[in-house]
Amino acid sequence: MLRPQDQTHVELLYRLYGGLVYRRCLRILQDRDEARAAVQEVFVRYMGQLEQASQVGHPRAYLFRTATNHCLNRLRDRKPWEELDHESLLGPLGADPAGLVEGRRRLLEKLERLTEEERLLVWLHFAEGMTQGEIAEVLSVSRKTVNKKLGELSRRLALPAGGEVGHA
Amino acid sequence: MPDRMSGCLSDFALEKLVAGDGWETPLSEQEQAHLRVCERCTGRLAEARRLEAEFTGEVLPSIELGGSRGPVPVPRRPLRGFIHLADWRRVLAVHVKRGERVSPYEPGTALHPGDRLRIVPVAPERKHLLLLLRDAAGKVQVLYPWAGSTSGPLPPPGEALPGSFGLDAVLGDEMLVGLASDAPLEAAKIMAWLEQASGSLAPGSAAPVEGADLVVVQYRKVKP
Repeated sequence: MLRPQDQTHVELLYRLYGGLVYRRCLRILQDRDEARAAVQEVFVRYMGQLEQASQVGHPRAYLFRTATNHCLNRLRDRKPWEELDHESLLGPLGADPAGLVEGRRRLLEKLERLTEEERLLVWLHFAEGMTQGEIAEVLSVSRKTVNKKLGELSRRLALPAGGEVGHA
Repeated sequence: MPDRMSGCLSDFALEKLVAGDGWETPLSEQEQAHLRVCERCTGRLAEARRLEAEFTGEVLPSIELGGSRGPVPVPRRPLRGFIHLADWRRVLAVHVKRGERVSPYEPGTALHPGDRLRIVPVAPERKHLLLLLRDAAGKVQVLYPWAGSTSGPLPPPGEALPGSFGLDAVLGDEMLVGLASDAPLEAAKIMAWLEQASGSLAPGSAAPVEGADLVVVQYRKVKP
C-alpha cells in the first residue's frame, strides 16, 4: 500500500493537476469518456512510479508528459492511423484542414518507428508546436539536448526543418 | 531547428495560465503580447478555463482514485498459482463505468447489465497476461488478448488493456480471471478448468497453472 503521506500527496496532485491531465487527454483523444478513464489511468501510473516520478522534475511536467504518452498509445491502439478522423488528430483544425491532416497522418506514420521518448519529442514539437524550452521543461532535460535530438530526428525522418506539420 | 513551429501559443504555454503558478519558465513578454492580439489563442485559453471548470464541477466528483480505502495498492509480491480473492488489486485495477460515472471496482459491489469494465494491469514483474471471463451463463471467453489462444504482452503498469467490455443482460455470478506470467500460457486448459468451476472459486484452491500470478475478481450482476 502507499504510505499515508504518499496517498495524501497523490490526492493533492490529483486535485491540483487533474484538470491539466483531463484537458491533455481530451485534447488528444477527443472523447470525454476516454479522457475520464485516461485521467484515472495516468494517476494510477503515477502512484505506481511515485519514487521515480519524484526524481524527474516537477510533478506537473511529469503528468503532462505521462498523459501525452498514454493518450498517444490509446490513439495508436484505437484504430489504424489511416482511419483516424480529423478530430482525432488534434482538432479543431486551422485554415488548411486537408493539408494539416495529411501532414499529421504522415507524421503519425513516422512516429510508429520511434521509441516512446523520440515519439513524444517529435509530437510535442511538430504536432503541438511547443518550443524547445517548453519541451525541455516537460522532459526535464536541457534545451541543448532537445535541440540536438530534434535535429537528428528531423534528418532521420525527413521532417520539415521550418515547416508546419499540423499545429492545431 | 526553429524554436516554435507556429506563432500561436502551445497548449503547454496556455496551461501556465490555467493550472496555477510556479512554472519553471513563465510566459515571456512576447507570448503575452501575442495572447493580447490573437483571437485564436484567446479562444483556446477560454476553452481551457471552461474545461478546468468542467473538471472541477463534473469530473473530479465522479472519479475516485481508490474508493474509501484510498488509491489502488502498489503491487509488492506476486501470487503463485493459488487463488487470493482479497489480493487481486495487486495485479489488476478494475474500473467500472456506469452512465457518466467512472469508479474503481470495490469487492462485493454488485454490477449491472450495461456497466462497462476497463482493466488496468499493475503487475510490473511479469511479462504476459491472460484475462478470461466466466459469465453468468457459465460460458468462458478470453478477454485479453481478445479471443486469443495464449497470453498477450503485459502492458506497462498503469496502462489499460485495449478497449473496455460491457456486461450483458444475463444476471448472476461472474468472474474475471487474470494470469500474469513470465512465459505465455495456453488458454485452452484454463478455459476448460473454468468451465467446470461453479459460479465462484474458493480462496486458497489451486489453479491448473504453474509459475503464474493468478487473480480472480468475482462479482454479482443484478438488475439496477
